[in-house]
Amino acid sequence: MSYGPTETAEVMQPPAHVPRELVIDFDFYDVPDAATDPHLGWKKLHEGPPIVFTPRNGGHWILTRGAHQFAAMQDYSIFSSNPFNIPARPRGTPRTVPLEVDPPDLQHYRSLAIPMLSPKVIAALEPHLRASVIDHIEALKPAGGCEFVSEFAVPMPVDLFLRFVELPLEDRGRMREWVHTVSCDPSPEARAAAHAATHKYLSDVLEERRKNPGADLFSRIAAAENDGLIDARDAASMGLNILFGGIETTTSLLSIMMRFLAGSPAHRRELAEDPSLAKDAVEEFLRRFGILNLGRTLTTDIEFYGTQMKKGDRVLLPIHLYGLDEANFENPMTVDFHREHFRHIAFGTGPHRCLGSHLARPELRIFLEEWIRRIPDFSIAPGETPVGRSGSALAFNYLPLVWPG
Amino acid sequence: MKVVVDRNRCQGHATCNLAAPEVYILTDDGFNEMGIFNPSPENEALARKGALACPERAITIVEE
Repeated sequence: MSYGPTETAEVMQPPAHVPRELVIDFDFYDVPDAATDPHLGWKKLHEGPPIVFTPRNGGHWILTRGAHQFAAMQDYSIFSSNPFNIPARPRGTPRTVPLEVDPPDLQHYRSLAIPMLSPKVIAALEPHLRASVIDHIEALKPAGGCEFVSEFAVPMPVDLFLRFVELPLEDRGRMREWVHTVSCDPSPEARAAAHAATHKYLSDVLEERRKNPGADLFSRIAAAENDGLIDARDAASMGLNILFGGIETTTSLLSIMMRFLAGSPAHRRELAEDPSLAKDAVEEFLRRFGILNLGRTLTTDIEFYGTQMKKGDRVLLPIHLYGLDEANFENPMTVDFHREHFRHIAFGTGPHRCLGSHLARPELRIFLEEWIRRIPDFSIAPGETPVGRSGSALAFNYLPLVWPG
Repeated sequence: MKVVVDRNRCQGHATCNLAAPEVYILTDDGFNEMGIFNPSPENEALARKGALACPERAITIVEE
């Protein structure tokens, strides 16, 4: 799912139908101040018009207000998910499944995964989730510090994923490396190579599961392939979507949560004094620190909230801004675990609702519970500076932490 | 109070059940298919809390 910065030095001319006053120079892979705080430069867009157009990355609209994002995500026949990436993936490359599939075909693919990721199934896995999280924290704790992204935010979700899809834990080294590279490596060649290696790995897994099916999610996808319900290309693509969709998102949010908590003793104290707050804290973190920038493509000309858009126009939905919209939340930049509600769209809205949401919530809650219990005090390592980024997902790439021994 | 669940809008976030498990029951796959119902008086506050938690705005509270 991750996509790196564009090397396109050229900036296109906005199309004739775009009013000049709505044009801004905004490269969403290189947002001002992202290294310090990935959300800052985005929030500044709320000082301008609700709908803007940037000539960067091939040219695209940006819907900055929550209400417009909600409307676009509900109206999938006009705001298609195919293509999704901005800039669009090269012609001839396989579509991401189910990310780039519109209804009604979308449900066909989602139905393979939904039963295995239901709240009921995940609840039964919770003890194993907790044991895995605890193992990771206990392994790190004695060192008195860590680089949180490479030593925890990547490995923990990778291991959980491997267990969940019943893949050998011996593969964790390679998978951690690929995921970390795809997310954080500045070199587009390195990212492409890691992506290709992951694709090959998953294709081999699906091949193996077709011959020796188990009860796991990839076996289910392989069985659907055997039954002719899904073709090989889409099956491999679905494996990739699930892997990156499940791991990179968790990694990103973990990194931002911990960057925040490292700088807020008050919030750490709240969680330490009342561990039952972890459930609402997760919702508030999802609300305040949404991570995703989603892409859409217009299937027809439309006048959208007073703005003329044309068929084929690309549209960026920075859904983290929904949670930061004053129309939705008072004092949205403040982290407050005691809000009356946390109704965000961090997991999306409409038919592409994140399939992994029922796994993500307990994973994050259990992480907070078990980390704060063991390491209630931690801070940024002295002399070090965390490094954040913007892109298809917001995250910290580098987060050196220390804690009392 | 009447609660109206629009099953067509439900996308299976399950946040209604997270906020108010006493009121909102899910199917095995995690969808709310409760339709229209009257919660007991002691559950009215929870019913409102669960409705407010739905990102799809699929749950409407009708005060009557």
